[in-house]
Amino acid sequence: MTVIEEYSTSYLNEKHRKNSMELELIYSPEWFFGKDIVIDIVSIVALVLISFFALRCYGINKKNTNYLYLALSFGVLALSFISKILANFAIHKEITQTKEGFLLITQQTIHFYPKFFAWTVGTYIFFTLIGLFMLYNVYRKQSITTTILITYFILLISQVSFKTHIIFHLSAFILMLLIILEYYDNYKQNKGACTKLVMLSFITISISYLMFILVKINNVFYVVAELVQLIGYIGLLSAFIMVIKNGKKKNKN
Amino acid sequence: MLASIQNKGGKIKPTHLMYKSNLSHNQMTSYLEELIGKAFVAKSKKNTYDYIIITDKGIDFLIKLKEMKEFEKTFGL
Repeated sequence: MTVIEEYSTSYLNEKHRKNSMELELIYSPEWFFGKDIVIDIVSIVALVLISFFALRCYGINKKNTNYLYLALSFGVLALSFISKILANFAIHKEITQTKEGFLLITQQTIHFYPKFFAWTVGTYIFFTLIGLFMLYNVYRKQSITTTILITYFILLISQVSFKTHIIFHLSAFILMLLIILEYYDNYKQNKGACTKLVMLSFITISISYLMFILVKINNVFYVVAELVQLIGYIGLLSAFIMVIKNGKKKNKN
Repeated sequence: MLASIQNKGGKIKPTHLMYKSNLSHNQMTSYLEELIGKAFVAKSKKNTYDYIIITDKGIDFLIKLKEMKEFEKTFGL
């Protein structure tokens, strides 16, 4: 039986085609489509667990507002990954097979919803940068005016990043560098396996943002960046599990 | 205070608790009332001696407190 593969797209009108070309954020190789969702889910699990724990700590000790700020920042970062996952549903393939005599015709239709894609990607960028800024704010408290100003710039970046993703990844990388400096200071003050692991996890996650910048050269960098991100969040999750274990272990002695 | 009780095997005499916690009698009485009110500790009598015992709720709270301290140290809060 002869198999003919025919490719077509459902967004054939000029307006949609223009939109798809403007949005520069799809860099995943085709064979990796959907697999990155699993990586994002692992990241969400790590972020949500830490966020809930910090929130529970705040419930016990309301005097330390840093618990609340940390919970909020990790929660917002988790929301950003949820938006990223939702963005995947803006593009989906439909494969239809029709039999005509001896021929089996496979037709692949790509459905693309530009407005939904723009919203989900926009919120992903906004929540990521706001989340990282909030995390930095836990350690270096900013005045209200500075916070408003930076929020405005983050909104601008969220808009501009549709044209060029480098601005988003570079901004996230710079924010990560500032956060890493705080965790390095913390590691110097409290030398231990957990503090070291948290610092190394953030370094790894920041490297993933650098890798995302290189995606335009070759989309294999997207896979590498996602894997590096996975390692970073697994490290963060491991540090959190160690914290819980240490708390229980010391109690037994 | 909770840690002092637990270090003594979960049961301690009030005077020992006062010394172990490095508190005055009045301070200890006030804190103890709060801990009893929250059901973290309870009073018990054995062979005419009074004892303060840590409850399961008190042990759970102590675990949470130690996890919190570890978390605080790890994330530099």
